[in-house]
Amino acid sequence: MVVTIFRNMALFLAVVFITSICYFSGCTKRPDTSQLNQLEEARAAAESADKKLSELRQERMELENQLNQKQIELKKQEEELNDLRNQVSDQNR
Amino acid sequence: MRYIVIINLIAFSLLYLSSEGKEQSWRYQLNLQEYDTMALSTFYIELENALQKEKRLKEQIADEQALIENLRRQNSEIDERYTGIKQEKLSILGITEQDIVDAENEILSIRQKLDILLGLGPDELDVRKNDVEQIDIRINALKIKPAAKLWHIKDKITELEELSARVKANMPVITSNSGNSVNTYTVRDIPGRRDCLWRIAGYPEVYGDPAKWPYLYEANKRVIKKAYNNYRNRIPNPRYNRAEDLLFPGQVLTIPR
Repeated sequence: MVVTIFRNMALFLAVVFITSICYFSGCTKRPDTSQLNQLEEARAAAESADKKLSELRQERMELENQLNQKQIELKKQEEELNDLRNQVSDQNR
Repeated sequence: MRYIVIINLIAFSLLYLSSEGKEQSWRYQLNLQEYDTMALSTFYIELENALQKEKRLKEQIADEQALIENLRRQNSEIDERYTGIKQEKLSILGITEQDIVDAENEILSIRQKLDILLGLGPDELDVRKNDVEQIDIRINALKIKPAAKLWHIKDKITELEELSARVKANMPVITSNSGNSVNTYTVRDIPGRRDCLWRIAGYPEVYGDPAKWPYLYEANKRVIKKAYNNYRNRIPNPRYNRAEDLLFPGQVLTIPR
């Protein structure tokens, strides 16, 4: 009985050992250098695109603010122009 | 059976001995260089994720660029309309850009003079009455210029008029009620030089002698005390303990002769 348990345990350990050896020694398939470079480039490209997108968003926000201010100023200018027109027409009467 | 056990023991011992010293560095590499331990299947997933992310970001970039282009176009349109309106205003008034610049320079020059006058006391202002009058003339000349119809010029002229009024308020104000026997003096708000009974009594138009301030106090005791009591009620820890030490701008004092 003890011998059987001992044998099974030894077999289990042997299996674990062989699996571990496979894992550590490179039985698992791994990407080669060119593939790793490809991944590195893809990640760098995504990061660069992310940076560019945030720059563009910032630029868009600035343009929107600029446009809002210009619209307010334009409205004021139009009101002033109308006022001047009225003043001139009053003078001509 | 015995051999299996022996092989296992030897193998585990070797594995333990070979990994013991490298454990730290192995973990270090695992943390810093994920590529060293990346399985091929993981690589494909990671690559796909990176490519998908790049594609998605590029689409968003294209959208942003379209929005930016649209905003630039709108800004440019507004600029054109703004220029058109500006030209039309000049044409209506019959003036040039230079006329506006001249008006603005004149405003600046008057403003500088007014700032100097605002820093002067009543006696000095009295000496420079002519300057104050000249400023009024210059402001009136500005008001009749066509450029004065422009809103921003009009606003600045109004500001000049307000400053001029403040300068005039600092000038000695003596009013005669009946004949020359009784006069009044309006307490002024002079920056950096507070009106007080001692100073008012010293004005040439009043007594020309600061030591005569008690006459002023006696004649105006009721008004001064009333204002002081109001002050005491409003301020929990008053800085002034005597009614005669505190006058308020706008108070009208009787000057007994």
